Amino acid sequence: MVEGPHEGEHPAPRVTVLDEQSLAQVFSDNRERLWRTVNFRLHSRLRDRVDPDDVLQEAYLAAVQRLQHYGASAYPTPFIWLRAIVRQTLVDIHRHHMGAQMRDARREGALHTGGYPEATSISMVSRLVGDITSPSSAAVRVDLMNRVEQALEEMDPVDREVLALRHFEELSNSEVAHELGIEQKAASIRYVRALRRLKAILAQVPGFFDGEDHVRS
Amino acid sequence: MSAVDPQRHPLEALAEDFMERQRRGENPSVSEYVAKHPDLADEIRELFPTIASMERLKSMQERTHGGRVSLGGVKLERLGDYRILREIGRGGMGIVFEAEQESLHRRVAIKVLPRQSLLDPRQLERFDREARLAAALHHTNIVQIYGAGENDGFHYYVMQLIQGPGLDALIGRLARTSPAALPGGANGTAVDFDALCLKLFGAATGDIRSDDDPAYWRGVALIGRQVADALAYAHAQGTLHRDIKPGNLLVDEQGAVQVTDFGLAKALQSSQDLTQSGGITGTLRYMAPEQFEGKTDARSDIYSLGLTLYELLTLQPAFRESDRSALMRRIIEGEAPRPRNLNPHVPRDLETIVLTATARDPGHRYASAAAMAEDLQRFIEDRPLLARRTSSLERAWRWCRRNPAVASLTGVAVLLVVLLAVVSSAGYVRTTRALQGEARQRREAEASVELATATLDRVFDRLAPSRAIALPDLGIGGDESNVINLTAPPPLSRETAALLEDLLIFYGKLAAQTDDTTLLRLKTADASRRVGDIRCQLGQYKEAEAAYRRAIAIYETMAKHSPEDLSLGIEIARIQNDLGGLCRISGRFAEERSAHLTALDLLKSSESNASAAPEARFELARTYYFLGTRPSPAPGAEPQSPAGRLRPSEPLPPLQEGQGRPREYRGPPLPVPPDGPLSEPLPPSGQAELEGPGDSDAQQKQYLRSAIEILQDLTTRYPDAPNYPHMLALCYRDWQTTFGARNPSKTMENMDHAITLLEGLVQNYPDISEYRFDLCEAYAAVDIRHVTSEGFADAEKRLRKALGVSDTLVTRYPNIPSYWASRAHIEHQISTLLLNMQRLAEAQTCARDALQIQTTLIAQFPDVPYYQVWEGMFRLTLANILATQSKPSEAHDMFEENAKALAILLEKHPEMVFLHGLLDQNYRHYASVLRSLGLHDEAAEAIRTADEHRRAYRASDRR
Repeated sequence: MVEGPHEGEHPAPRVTVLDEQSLAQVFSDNRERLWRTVNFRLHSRLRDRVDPDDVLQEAYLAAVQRLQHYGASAYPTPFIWLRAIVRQTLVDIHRHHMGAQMRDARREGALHTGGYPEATSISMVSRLVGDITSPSSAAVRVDLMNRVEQALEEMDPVDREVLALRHFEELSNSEVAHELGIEQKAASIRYVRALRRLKAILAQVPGFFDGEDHVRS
Repeated sequence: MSAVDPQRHPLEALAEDFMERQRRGENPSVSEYVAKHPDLADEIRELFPTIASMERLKSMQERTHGGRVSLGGVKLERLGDYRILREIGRGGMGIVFEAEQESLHRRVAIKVLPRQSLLDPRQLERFDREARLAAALHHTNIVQIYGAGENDGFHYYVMQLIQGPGLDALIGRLARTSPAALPGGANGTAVDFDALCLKLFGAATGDIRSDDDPAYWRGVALIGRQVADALAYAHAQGTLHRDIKPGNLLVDEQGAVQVTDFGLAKALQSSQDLTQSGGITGTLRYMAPEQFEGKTDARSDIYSLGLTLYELLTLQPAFRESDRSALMRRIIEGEAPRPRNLNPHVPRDLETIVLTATARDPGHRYASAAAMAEDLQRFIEDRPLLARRTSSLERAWRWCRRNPAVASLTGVAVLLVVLLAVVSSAGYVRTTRALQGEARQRREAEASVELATATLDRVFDRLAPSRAIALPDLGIGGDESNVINLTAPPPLSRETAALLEDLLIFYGKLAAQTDDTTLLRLKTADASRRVGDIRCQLGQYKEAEAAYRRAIAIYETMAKHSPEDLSLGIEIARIQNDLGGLCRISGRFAEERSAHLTALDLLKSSESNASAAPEARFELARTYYFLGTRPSPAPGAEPQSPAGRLRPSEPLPPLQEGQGRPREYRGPPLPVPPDGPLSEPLPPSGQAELEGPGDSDAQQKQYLRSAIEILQDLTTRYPDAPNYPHMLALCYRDWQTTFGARNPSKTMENMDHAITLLEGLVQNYPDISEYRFDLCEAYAAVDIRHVTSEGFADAEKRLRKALGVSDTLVTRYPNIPSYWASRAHIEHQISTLLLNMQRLAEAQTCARDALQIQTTLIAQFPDVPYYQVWEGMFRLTLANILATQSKPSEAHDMFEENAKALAILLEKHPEMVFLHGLLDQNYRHYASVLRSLGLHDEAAEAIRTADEHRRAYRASDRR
């Protein structure tokens, strides 16, 4: 078990000047997490046409262009700044590809409204269920899945968002706090609450927490 | 962990550590955290498995998003000896690149798997094994595997480079759903489909859909034969493909078909992937039904090939469902539409081959791929097939064998249709040919009507036993009828109810064929009521109500024609009472009251007439019982009475008709009439049917008292009929639960009468679940609010007894919702009692059980608002327990959730004013939890909200 503070929680003093070389370094260090954001938020209908790698490429170019603005911005870390640029790039791409019906940025990008790619909650569920059920009875699994699907659909969007940020995009607590514009304490309470609600939903699925052979107890 | 960071929830900090370690590939154990942080042990145990699930979910999601894999942001340029040149395609499990093997200077295809896909060592082992097996296959129609390897954490395998598209692209092009050109041709050029089709079918794509071109069908057969050959060869080597589908069949530049991914696709797919969305559905679509049960053999590959050919014949998938659950269901259920129904030009023999290959039962398919190849070759050479066509009758027979339960009922329906046909034609003959043979025809017709009627009766008797009231001897029964034979009804299901409902129309049809319609109309009405009973037990209240109303309508029509027939009135009264019970369940108290008053009106003549027919008096007693136990509409008083809960009407046990004359009473000693409550002054008679929304306590008591008097008399006269003591027990029991709370000094005397009676009934009729249920409810009728500390032990004993009976009920009859509802209430009562006894951990367990049952009930019956009211009550109890256990953050969430749910319910049902009371309590307790968390502003706000609800609640009370 690793002791000590976590990188995300006790950031080094804010870097105020970012040159192109250190940007490349930050980008490369955080490439996987940024890719996760793109991969998670990219609309399923765009997957055939848009590769997450291309989105990252575009975001990088945009970051280079806006380099001189970083110092004056309110972003606490270069990563959060980069992430914001990635999100903006995603919004632009969705807008470009999906036309007028998707023009509302809230449906694509902005986090605060819980704008998920359409299939998120459903695929989230299907994988959770697939993850934990035994392979013996596919029919049982289908039933389980339908039940969890319904339940997760009902989950509060804020809860879903917090879970997604922490797990799918691998943001730290302080990063989530910044993203949602709340205090760190509040962010950590929200996360635990969302987790508890998810657990409550999953616990209603018979057999969900039986046979958790993948989690060592 | 270092010192606790006050800026964070302590659990969240641990959770972050836990997930970061997982991301680093460690496998941290939950118990390790529990041991280090005993103060958070419960929460760690509760939540960490969910964290682990979320992390696994993420890896899987990244592996295949939207059905396509990704390498997770990594750009590949080289893997060992292989220089990556370009991406050729992506599938559900890997990305295929064209690469150059530098040492040999050859072009190869290399399939790279995402990093996380082989984390499980068993899976890795399996992958290696399958790759070795696949590499051992050498066949002109199998893509050669050169080997497998691992570099930079990426597993991959190397194979022969095929310059050509998959059959999926070709089918798409033929169906005109794909563009004319697709990448995938030689050296990254677009595929020239016309050239390809010319090779395969002797015609360009533009020409081949002139439908009855024999060259096309031969081309399809040739494709099939090549694949079947490849399969036959591989099967002989002991290797199954396991994932034959158009996408895995490549057409090379020479027009030859090459099977790719032998055995590997499935080795990579752990079972869980089957439930994934997107590309996996593509695989699912071609899976043989037995594969869902984990059984796979050579015939599964044959099935998948059959479906692929099906798609070439019809240019659409055999199973088109895009939703994977629906798709799986369709596959498991079986047969797709025949290809010739979709395209009549499909040659009959080719269709036969496809149908044989895709038979649902592996035993009906080709026994080997070689046999399938043989028939395909025979088709190509225009020789007769070896496979035999299956007749429609055989298909129907196979279907019935798969669905025996339904089929037996369906069989009855078929028999009835046949009989009706005989009857109708005979009827026709009867009217048209008045000469010789007429009498015989007529006899036949009558016999058929009788047979059909008897068949129907038998079905209904078996599946929907009549709850006909105990008929004392009216001179009908013989000696053997003294034996009361109560058999347990068969398990109920919605399907049975629906089928029975369908069968009802046959009574109507039969009635049209006979002169004596009265009997059949009676039967129709009776059957309809029985369907209503079943629906009611299954919690399908709307359908039950419809069935009851239908029955009433028939009886009423008949009653108009023969007003002298009193039995019709009794029937109507009985169903009206059942309807009233239904209304009570759905909270429509005014309607309930009017239904019972209608019944009362119909039965009035039997009132105070001891010589009236016993069934009339019984029904009258039942009416009084209902009127006397109606839940008090006064808000606040938490309805403790089981009757106030979600009880459907009291279904009575099945009895054989005409079953016995009066005999010596052999049951348990009858209790003397309870003099306590009964001695209270009664209102002047005649005021019992006062107008207004409800009856006063005194009126209700009078009703109950009348019911008890009638039932005591009936029980004494007809000691063998179990219905009378049963109903009597209910009266005693619900007297206690309806009025006991307002008279707490009165002991449980009435309840003990009820329990004695019910215990006797359960002993004599162990198979009648209703008796058991009512006994369970009697044990459970403990008024928790008035139990003092001296009474704790006794109350717990009673409730544990109730729980024991409830165990039997829900195990034997898992699909009766009222048994589950009852169980939830018992658990809730126990949890409240344990809370009072300060046994908090046990209390929490019971409250959670109650809540969980209730949540399941609500999911099944969203139309019953009471289930949701009670859910609110259960949540409130659980939250209080959590607060008492000093778990303020959990309690906080529970209160908050409850407030939200109750507010929504109140919005939907503003008439449920007692919800204000519940909300008042909820907010008040919530406030104290908020205060303990130091959130004083929020606490004050909660108190204000509580006050608002209290005002609303009191205002309604005054009204």
